[in-house]
Amino acid sequence: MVVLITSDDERIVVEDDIAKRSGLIRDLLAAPWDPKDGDREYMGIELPIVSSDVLKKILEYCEHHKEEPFDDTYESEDMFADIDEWDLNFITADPHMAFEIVLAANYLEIPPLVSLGSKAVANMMRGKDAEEICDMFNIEKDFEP
Amino acid sequence: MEPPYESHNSAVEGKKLAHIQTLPTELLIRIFCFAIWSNSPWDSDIPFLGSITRVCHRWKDIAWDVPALWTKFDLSDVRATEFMLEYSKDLRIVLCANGGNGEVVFAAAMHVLQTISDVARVEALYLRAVPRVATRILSSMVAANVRNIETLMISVVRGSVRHWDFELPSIMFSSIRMYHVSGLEFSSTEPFSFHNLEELSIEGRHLCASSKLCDMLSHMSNLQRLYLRNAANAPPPPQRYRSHISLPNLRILDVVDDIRVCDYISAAVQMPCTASAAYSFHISANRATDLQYPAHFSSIVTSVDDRFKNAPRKYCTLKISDECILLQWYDASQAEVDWPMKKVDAPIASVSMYDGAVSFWKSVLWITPDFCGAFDLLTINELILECPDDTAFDDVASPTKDSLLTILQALPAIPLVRASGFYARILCTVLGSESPVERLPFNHIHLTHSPLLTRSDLLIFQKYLLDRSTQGRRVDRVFIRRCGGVQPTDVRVLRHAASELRIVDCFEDSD
Repeated sequence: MVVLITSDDERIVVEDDIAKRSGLIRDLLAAPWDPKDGDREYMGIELPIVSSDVLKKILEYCEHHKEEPFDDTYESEDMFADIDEWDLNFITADPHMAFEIVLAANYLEIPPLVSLGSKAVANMMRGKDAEEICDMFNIEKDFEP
Repeated sequence: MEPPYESHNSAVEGKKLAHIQTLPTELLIRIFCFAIWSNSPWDSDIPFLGSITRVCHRWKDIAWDVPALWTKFDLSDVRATEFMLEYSKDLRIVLCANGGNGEVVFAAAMHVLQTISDVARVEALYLRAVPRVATRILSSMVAANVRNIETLMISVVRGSVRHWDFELPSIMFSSIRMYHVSGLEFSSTEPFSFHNLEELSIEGRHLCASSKLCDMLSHMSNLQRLYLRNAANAPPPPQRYRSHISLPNLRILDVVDDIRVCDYISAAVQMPCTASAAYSFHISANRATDLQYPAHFSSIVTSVDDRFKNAPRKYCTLKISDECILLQWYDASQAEVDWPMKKVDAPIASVSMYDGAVSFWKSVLWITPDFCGAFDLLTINELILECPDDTAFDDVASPTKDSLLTILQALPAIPLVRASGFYARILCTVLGSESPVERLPFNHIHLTHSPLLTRSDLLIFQKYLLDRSTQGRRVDRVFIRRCGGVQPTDVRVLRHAASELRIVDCFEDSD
């Protein structure tokens, strides 16, 4: 088991296989550990830019995909690949969280989730003009073209 | 796609940011790419690039300074093409032209293609619904990009092109990964063979002999996806081609409507990685032994199969593998083999056509009126007991006892049942039959679209639910929609009998 410590100081215990969907955590777990530094599981892994809400959501994704192999397609990005129905429901459930998931997945190095979140955000803005995009994302328009 | 930017977060520190502005530039660029390029080459939203440049300073700077965003363009937009060529810098580009947008628009696109035919950084060319082929322009562009092109997709309006003399010098195309051609007569004089090709799609190879096709395939050992469609009149392969071709990497095989290769290909092509296959119209094979579906296929999609001629159609099950069972309207009466076919002695099935997938899986089994003939109550009772956990019965009008029992033997009981039309009545009757509570442990029951459901049927159903509830095995969910026999007073009774109740469009104040 791995203990992950979120930005709001929550300690979340996760199975190795699920945690290792993250490249960052995989690398940290593979790194040598000096027992003098304490018990590794007790010390946990700090994720200073990931909140507990977002991490739990990401772990839900990792749990769902834990059986998938880390093959060539895992790291690559298929621009035109269809989105699986479960993934679609997962990422569109809370549009605001989609941004945080993309950000955190990027930090945690989970390429398929970064890709999924990016596609979801892209879908929100497709076909919109500049005014509509500003309204939708609450962007301050700081210049006149 | 390396962004030449500092982290945006520091630049806007102290301001309350919109969520999207918290994303680092590299992620924003990726999102822009997705938004512009969409899921297919034809749905790209090129004008969206213009929108991006007008949102805010940050987005404008990204849009103008990232060449990758400008690499894919619609040739019919002359002005945009100029921008794209300039701002994509020296990156490889993707060109699209859609003849479906009108003759004038397409002519403009071809004109643009002519003017840029010497641009030697074309990675992919998509020409759709082409009303005519400007072979000279195409050849010129291809010649300039022979080492770059990875994707070539040309679909010609059927019948519009009588003569097609454009041939790819296959030996030079070291980069091509995907080649789609449709609508052409495809009378290529020399078989092409791209050793690195991963996806080949040929629609309408009417003049391309199957032997030539086999020659091509025998040189495409890297092929992963093969689509051969609408070639009903293509010449068959001669006997001497009944030797094995090896496609060790083939994952998807789709030979719908290509009669000549349908039967041949599964017997003569070794494709150990193929999991998904689509066939149809195996009418050329008279001997069932010609069609031994490889046991490793986990999915087979097929439509009407008349291999067994001159007799009424009957059901036949094919046990493809432990994971896959296929039910088809075979007339198995003349079948001579036991495996993979199992002959089923059943009356003539429905005459209605079903042109989609007819695959029956142990995990998800759908039974529709199209497949089912006569039906009796005892059968459904037995079938329900035998089905897998997530089986859905849908619109079962009248399956035959023998045929369905054959399919469903040895499958465990199900928690969910959906019944509509006539079947909703049958289900109520079955539920009211002898000791059903122990034998029919559904947790979700859906009765829909059965206006002929009678008051008597519904009372039987209520009794079943109340018996379950009394025994402490209350049904989790009951959904009744557009059914007859339901009265507002039933709501109170049914609420006691099921944890979740939904009645819709059954009476005026439906809930």
